[in-house]
Amino acid sequence: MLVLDNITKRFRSGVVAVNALSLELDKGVVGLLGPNGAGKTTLIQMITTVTKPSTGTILYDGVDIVKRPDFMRSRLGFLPQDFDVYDNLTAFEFLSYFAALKGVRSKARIGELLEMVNLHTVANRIASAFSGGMKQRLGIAQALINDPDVLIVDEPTAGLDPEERIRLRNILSEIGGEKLVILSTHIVSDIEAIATHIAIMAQGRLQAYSTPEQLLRTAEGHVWKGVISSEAFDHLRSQVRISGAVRKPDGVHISVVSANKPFDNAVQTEPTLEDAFLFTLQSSGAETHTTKEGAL
Amino acid sequence: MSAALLRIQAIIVTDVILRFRRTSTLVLFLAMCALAYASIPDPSTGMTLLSIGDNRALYNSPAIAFATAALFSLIGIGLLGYYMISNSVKRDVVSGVGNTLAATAMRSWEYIVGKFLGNVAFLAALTLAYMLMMMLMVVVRGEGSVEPFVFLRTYTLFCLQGILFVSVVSLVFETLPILSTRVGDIAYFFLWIALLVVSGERMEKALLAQRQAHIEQTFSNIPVVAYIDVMNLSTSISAINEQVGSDSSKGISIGESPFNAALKPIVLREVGLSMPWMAVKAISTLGFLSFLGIAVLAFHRFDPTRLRASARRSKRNIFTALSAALKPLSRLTTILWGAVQTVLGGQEFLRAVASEVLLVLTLHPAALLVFMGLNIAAFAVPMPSLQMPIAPLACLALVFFTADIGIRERQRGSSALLLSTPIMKEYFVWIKVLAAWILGLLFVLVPLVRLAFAAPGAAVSLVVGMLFLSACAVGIGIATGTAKTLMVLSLILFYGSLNSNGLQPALDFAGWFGSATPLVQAGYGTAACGFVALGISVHWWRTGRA
Repeated sequence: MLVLDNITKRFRSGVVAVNALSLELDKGVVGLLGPNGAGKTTLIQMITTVTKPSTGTILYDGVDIVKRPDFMRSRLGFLPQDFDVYDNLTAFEFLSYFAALKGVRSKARIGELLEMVNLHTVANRIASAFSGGMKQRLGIAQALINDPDVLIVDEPTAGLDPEERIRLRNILSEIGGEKLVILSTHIVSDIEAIATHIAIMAQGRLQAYSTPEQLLRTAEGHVWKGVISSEAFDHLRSQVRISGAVRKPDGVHISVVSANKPFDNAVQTEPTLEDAFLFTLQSSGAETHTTKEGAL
Repeated sequence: MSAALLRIQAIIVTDVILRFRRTSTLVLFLAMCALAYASIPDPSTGMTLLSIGDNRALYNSPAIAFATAALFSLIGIGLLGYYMISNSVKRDVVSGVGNTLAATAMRSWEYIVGKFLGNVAFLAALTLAYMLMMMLMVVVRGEGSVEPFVFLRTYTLFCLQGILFVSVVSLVFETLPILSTRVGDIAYFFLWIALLVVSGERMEKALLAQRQAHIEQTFSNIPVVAYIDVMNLSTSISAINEQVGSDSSKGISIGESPFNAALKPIVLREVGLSMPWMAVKAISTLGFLSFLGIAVLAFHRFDPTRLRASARRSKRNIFTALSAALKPLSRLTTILWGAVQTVLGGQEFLRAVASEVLLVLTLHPAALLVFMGLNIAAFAVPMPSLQMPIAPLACLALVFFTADIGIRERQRGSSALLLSTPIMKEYFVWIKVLAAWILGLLFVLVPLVRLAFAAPGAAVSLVVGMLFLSACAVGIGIATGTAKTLMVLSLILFYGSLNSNGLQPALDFAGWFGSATPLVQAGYGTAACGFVALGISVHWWRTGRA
């Protein structure tokens, strides 16, 4: 059990990246959603003991990991947002390095992980020459090498093609069955199929923490869909939160998150997780910069 | 093996692998082979490696091992070694691997110890390679048999302390914010000179006085400065004095020097240190090893909060403060950008060169101040002052402002952006070299005009010297991917040139003393072409045009 108790991170510049955040996390996949600049990465850096909170405590299995970071580090797998590799190490050597740092002595484990992320055929190639997706998979492998109790991945789908994204989701979902996986992203589709819980952050604060079903229920009755002309669409998008739009011959098919009926022929529809996320942010008054595939 | 040892071992091994796989290491080893051959002159030329008084030391294993170990400890380890290893922590920050390392169970002290031992392993490997080259030179040019254990003992005795010292200092510099930048690179150079001068002069005087008074050397009367003679130059001179006798009139010269061929060569035995000296060295080593504690305490452990604070602090130095204060000056260049477009509109090559010059002036407003300061001063000062100190100052400024001219875009990930502009891909190296050269010539515009009438030879040397430095900046920068190599090589060249005081024309590369012959000028011009060719080759290879 990971318990965050009233943690705040204030930089010397005065910026408060995370503000009085409290949260209890158990095993499962926790999707940490939030627009850019919400404080997700800073929160993750505190959980991974890379940086210390200004105030508050973080307990893992009852141990204060701010005071005893090694307790967390030995149980942790972490893929940072801007993960990269050394210039001149092969994938196998890179993984061997992190295996040693994490106290893993089995060479077989390295081979196993490389196979898991489908890099076993290029294990002896210099990793810096890999594509973005291959590097990201190597990053996943290093995060999993010590069979961690807590796996934290920060924006892991950046640079991955659709097939790789699905593979990653499957890996994380499988691990989440037994352990705690925290997946930070601003792309809702990354987590909608696998998250058992969703935490939404904006402006350094926790705006919501619930199961996807609960989150969907909160947005019920606030999502509308309909077909409007291109001209009306241009006018409407400056007034309401549009969660999806597709141009078709008969006009623009849109879905809108709004408390009131946004246009004449709008009809209520079942909210998606994207809608629920936008609704939560809208309710909290936070701006969003989310990405949804297919949205204009 | 415990988990901590396993982690330290992994850090050392990875560090050594990373260093040995770099092209620059291969270049370094090749350079060392050439240096090994050149550093042991053939006595038939009238020059020798080690002279005592007017006698030369016979080229046996003890003499060659001693002289080359003493020189390598001073230059190879003490100076070049620092610049070769002083990026081990920065590499983890820049590559982004640090973020991942920070979340592992690795402790800060393990990381620092691992990096320290990685530095030691790399420098020891370099020393070993150099030593093997020297053993080979005994076969090629020696006058005795190869004695591997004599080499091993002598190199250990005279190089180990330097290896440990440089390995510690580089980590301390890397972890202290203000010294982790280019300021640290320059500061280390002055630290090296200071150690050399203080330990050398003071110890020489103290030991000479003891020898003249026939005082037996004990632990208590070894001069205090021996504790800071970490590169062992004075220690080695003292050791050889012990062996060849205490005659103070015998000047000892290590490195290429003339000798009297009519005199019988001196046959040296293995040069060692007495127990009191060994004790001093051990205490001194333990003393500076304790500085590792500073590195552990100052190490940011890749904490983004500390890294940001560190970056802010590192910017609080005299150069950035000056640049910030002079930023309004760069408005002048904004006007010139427009003028360049108007005047050189269709001339793509010239426009690119002019733009590069203006970019340097915009990025470094202090360069504008240097340009104005040197040229205004050049109107007022007497003729000799144009060569000394105006010309050296201009050369120093050129190196400082253009050290990264060939690699700036690569370091900031904007190479593709630049190379997609017209003609830049094809003429990248030429544009950069010409821009740097023009900048250098701008610094000495008035001195050049005055020298052209009064001392045309010196003026030619200055023009050639500026071209040489510009080509070095671009060629070496592109080949090694760092500005450090140029900084250190040019500082050594400047130091050598200033020290020679014009007595060696070959070192008067920029007409500071007016002693360069046309052959020397042609030599530096040819070397400049060589560096341009190096830059072009590496650039073409990298951009797939080879």
